[in-house]
Amino acid sequence: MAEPREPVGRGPTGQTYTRIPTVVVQDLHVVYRVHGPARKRGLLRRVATGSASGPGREVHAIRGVTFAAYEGDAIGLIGSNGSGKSTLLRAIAGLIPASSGAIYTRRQPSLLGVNAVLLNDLSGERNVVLGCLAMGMRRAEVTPRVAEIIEFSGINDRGDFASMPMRTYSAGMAARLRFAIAAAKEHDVLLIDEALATGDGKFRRRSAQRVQELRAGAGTVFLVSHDSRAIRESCERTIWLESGVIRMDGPTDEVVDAYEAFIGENS
Amino acid sequence: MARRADEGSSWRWFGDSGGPGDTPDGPGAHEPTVPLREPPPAWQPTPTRGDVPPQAAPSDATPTHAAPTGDRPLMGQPPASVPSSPGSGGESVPFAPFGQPAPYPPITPPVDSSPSGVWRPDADSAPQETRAESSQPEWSQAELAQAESSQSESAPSGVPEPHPAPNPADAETAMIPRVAYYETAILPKVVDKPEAPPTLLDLAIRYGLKPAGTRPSVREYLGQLWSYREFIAAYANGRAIAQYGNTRLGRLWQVLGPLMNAGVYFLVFGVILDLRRGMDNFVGYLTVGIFIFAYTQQVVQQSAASISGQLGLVRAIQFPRASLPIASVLMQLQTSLIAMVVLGVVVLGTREPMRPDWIWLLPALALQTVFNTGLALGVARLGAEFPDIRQVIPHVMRIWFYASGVFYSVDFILANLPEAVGNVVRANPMLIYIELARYSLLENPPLASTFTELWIMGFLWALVAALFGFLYFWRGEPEYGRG
Repeated sequence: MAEPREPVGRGPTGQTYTRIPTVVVQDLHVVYRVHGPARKRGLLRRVATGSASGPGREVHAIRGVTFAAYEGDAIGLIGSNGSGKSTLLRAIAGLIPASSGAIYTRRQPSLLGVNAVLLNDLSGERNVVLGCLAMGMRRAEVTPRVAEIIEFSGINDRGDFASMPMRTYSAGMAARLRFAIAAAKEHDVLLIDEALATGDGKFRRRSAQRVQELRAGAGTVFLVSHDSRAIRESCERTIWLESGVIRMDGPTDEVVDAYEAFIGENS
Repeated sequence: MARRADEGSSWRWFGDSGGPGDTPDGPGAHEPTVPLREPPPAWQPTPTRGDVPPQAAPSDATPTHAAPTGDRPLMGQPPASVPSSPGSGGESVPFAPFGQPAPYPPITPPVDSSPSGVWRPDADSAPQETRAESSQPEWSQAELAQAESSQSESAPSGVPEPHPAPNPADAETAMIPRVAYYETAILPKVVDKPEAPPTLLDLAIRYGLKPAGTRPSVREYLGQLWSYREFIAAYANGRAIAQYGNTRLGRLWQVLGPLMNAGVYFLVFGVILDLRRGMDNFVGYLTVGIFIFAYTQQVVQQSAASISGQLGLVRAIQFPRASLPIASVLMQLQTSLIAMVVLGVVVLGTREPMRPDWIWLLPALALQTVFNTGLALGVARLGAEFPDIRQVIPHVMRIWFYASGVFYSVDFILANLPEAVGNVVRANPMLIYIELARYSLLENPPLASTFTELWIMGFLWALVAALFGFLYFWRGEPEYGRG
């Protein structure tokens, strides 16, 4: 990076525009439609009035979020459960449409989450191939790297699990494999959803190192976690979301301290 | 807001209730039918009313309200009784989430927390947390609606401007560069680069960022699909393996399934109902029909769930979504190729000779595959948008099955039908693909149309289905993650 890396400024004029943005989110709103079980009101009445039976209920998960992320940033996302962190990541990845507002990205961001469902009846090896192909890699690129990815995930540390169906894996093993798959590709923007929290200490060190490598490759990393230690270790900027709005955005230590104080007084 | 035309309606809308005492069960009792009520006399605008913040007292008297007339007098009460803090509003507002208003009050609207025109009685039955989530957007919509109507209508002078959805995080998110024009004008140049961009969007455009989650052009989309061909093949293959993942015989069921199916139909229609009469080779005739129909049937059933059943994948990785329904077609094509070999053996077993005409089966299957692909794309989008469609599909497919001459010869019934109806029956794409296969495999099958007609219609159906199915699916591309 030829350009200097100032810390991210705050306030409308504090933005360090000398840096190259990778993700720009402008006044984003995301609304989920929920087709849940019927509410208490009778089915007949709902059909007759046509009011509540229509598009289902709506959950306004993100309500007006604005920020920009720059090359080489590692941004932590914190907030209580249901504050919209994962939804924000999905929206940035283009997986969930914005109801209003805009998201601009330099290239296709990749989301790596604990929810990244692969095919549970297939072996780990096949899932590695499938996951890499789904990320847009060529089979010729994938084949030589399968062993390396499985090695990184460490699922073979206790016997040959790579050839076993994924439904036999523990939660931690599956999460490690998913991270290994996602980290196999150079991402311009990598969105990590709780993935690092699941591994053991050894895996966490390895993945933290990999996150550093990805950032060095001029990428931007978003990390969602409830584990403030993981955020403090890997991110220098943190965004605190609460009820779908940004409550705080700034240097990690400042924001995480405020968040912890908030959690403390809340409980 | 049909009531806008009426001058006084905004009054009714806002002031439609009095103080907190008016709405013991506040939001819960609310119905969207509020504007239909007649304003009671007590309700005329009074001088004091001018001080009432308009958003302060929505809610209230609904048809289901316990004693509507009883509380009317309350409405004229001075604004002092209006709940103005979230704390006091909290009692009458059951949607306050666990301890939420207390820790960070800005998130709940400061003035009124009982939204007007949005709460439904049944909301009370929802679990606390869900209700809290779903209530908030409704609140802000109501708030916006109020703000809008108060602006567009003659808001009485002295009424404070209702704050549309006060953003709690405004203070913290001061970095939001929502810089007003006059601010940029007076901003000292030394603060930032001379051309300090007023919005992040300018920044995004300047650096050539692209909007996320937009729909590619048809050509780009086809290109993307082509570059994902390896994924599509691997996914189809993986699904095929996974489908029989926990059976002992595994993929042998791909052969056994159709065979058993044919056996059942032979038992019912061939032996019990004895529809064999007048047909040289009923077993061959029936088996061809069942195998060809099963191909389309499986594709439709599977592709309806191809998006909605894989939301986890769709929400995790960005790839052209059409890969999923296309993979279901590929997976079923694989199955049906195996089934065709079985079919050949069955047909030979019925003492049909093996003829060069058998080769026609391949182009017929190709046309059917194109047709199925279009169908799969269309059904996949339908299934993603209306999950209920999956409950309907089996029944639709059964009617289609009965209409396609699988176990009887359409030729026989055409004689009794008016020509127009007969043409519709003969234009049934499934009948066409089945008859093409019969023509190829059997020596003297009774057919409803001539060979040339069958090819032309089969080709047209494939073309139309693929075109419309693809375009329909493509148009929904950015929305599939919403679920």
